[in-house]
Amino acid sequence: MNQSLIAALAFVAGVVVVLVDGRSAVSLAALFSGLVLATAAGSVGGTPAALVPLLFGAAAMLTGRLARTSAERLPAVPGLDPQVPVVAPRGGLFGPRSVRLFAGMLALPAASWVSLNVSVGGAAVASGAVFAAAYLWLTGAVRLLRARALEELAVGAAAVALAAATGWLLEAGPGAVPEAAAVAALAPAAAAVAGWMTGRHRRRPAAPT
Amino acid sequence: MSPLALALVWVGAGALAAPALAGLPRRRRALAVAPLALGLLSLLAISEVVWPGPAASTGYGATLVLGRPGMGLLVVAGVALAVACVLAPAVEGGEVTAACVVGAAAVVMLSATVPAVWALASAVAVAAVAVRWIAAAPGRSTLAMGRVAGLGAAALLGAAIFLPAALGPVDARTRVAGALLAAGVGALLALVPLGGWAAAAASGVRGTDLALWTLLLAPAVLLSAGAALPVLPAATRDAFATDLLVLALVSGLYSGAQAVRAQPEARYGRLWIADLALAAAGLASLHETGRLGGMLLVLTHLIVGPLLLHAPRPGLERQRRLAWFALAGLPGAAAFWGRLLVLQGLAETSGVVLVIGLVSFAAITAAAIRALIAPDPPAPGRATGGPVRLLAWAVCLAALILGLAPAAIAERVFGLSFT
Repeated sequence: MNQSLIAALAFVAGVVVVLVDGRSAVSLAALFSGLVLATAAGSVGGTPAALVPLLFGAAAMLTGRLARTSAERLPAVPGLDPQVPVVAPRGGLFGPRSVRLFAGMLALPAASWVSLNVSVGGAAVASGAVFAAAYLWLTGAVRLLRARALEELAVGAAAVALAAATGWLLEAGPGAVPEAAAVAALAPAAAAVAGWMTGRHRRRPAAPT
Repeated sequence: MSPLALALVWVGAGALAAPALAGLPRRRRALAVAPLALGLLSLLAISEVVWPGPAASTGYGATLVLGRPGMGLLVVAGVALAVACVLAPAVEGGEVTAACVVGAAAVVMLSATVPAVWALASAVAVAAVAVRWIAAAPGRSTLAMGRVAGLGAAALLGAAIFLPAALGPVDARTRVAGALLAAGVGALLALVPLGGWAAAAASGVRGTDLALWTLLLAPAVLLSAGAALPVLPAATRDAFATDLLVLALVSGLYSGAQAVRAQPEARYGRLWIADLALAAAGLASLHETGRLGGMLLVLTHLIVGPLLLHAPRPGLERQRRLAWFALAGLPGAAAFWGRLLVLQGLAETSGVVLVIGLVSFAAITAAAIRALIAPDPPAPGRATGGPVRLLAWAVCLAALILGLAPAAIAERVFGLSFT
């Protein structure tokens, strides 16, 4: 696939990772990241490499949903709902999403610098595949650093795991699929934990008065 | 037993321990059995092969080899976690589950031969600690742990990509790899400017939760980073060591000063962070004496930590004071030898580095002596039972013995020559 197209798709996926919120945030972020990173890994490592981010991104969506629905069948127990911010946001001119979007914009030149100056395995310098992995890693890092709730930490962890797995594949080629799969498995694990806690500690609907 | 099987046993025990023992009336003591048994189980996983470190493989293959230092650390950490649970005023059960997950990750971290697997294990450990801390005590400090330590784990995952072939002279790739490694290890060891989360958590999180980081995660990161350094490509190693040394020295100065000023309930946490910074400085000095000193310091804290991590309790005043003596840094005290070896390592690096290390040493010593002299504030509640007091005396005795025969004990634990 054309390297410029991969880079453009990575930008779209990065914006999704930076902006997505709500119950399906981890699933959506992992799915978009997995789809785009599959094109990046596939351009260097072929089909086996492409399958790693693709399958684990899709698995994150499935395990997150499965864990949440399973937990919702059990009686709710008091505990931390991953959707609820741990601390109240400070008042400010810009909200948390605006700040994340701004940080995501700053990540663009940083990822470009990496793709232009740092050689990664067999990928050529100025490669769209390296840009994709670097940009999604940086947007995941932004989510981690600006997280207000457990769910947001899970979004960041999923994006970073898939990006790191793709980077490992770009560096080592299809021979490194086992290690890359182990790293990428962090994404479905994060989605499952967030989904399980959301279902288990969901808020009960208020009783009608 | 293979390291992978050992890690699976740790995870399985964590999944079973809390629900299985929740109904027992003497739940607190029963839960302490889990980390104790798992720590001792590590003795079965030792292999004849020397662990080559987490960055040893320039090829690819996820072989796990648990070496002697890792085995020793896991055994002592398991015992320390068990003692911390018994000496705690209360145990919920969730912290034991989290401890087992962190323990499993520590097993992988201490036996990984591929950087990606090592970084993955550190990420899992950080995630387990973050979920536990945030769920147990939601607040800015625990959220900061998830944010900053999570970012550190992400940095290690990023660094892992660049490690295998970073062989050439210093270029952008080796520089990025070294900086990411230093940032990752610095964040997980709570070095300035990435360590604010630990200082805040030290006074906001209960002792048994704090033990996940102080007794298991931080020592495992320090030991595995020490094993990684010698086999890193020279350019990456120099970049990593230089960055880490700067972070560690600044952190030692800052945390030492903070430990002197800290309130009694937060003093041990601050002092542990300062000692951890000193141990990281010893590691980054790239001299064997500095690395061994850091390990001796960690061993000292693994012994006294289970007693000092918790808030003061009636009946344990004298034991706590004796534990503070072990940390005082006076000749004959356990911490003295570790700090002395670290200073020797720093002296072999440069005079300026030694001077900064000496100032940190003085601040840490002053903080420990202040805690030794100033009595703990009166503790509320009933006096602790006889067995708990006896266990606290045993902790003190172990710390005193370590001070009298540091080389012999450290050699038995880590299997390394300290003489």
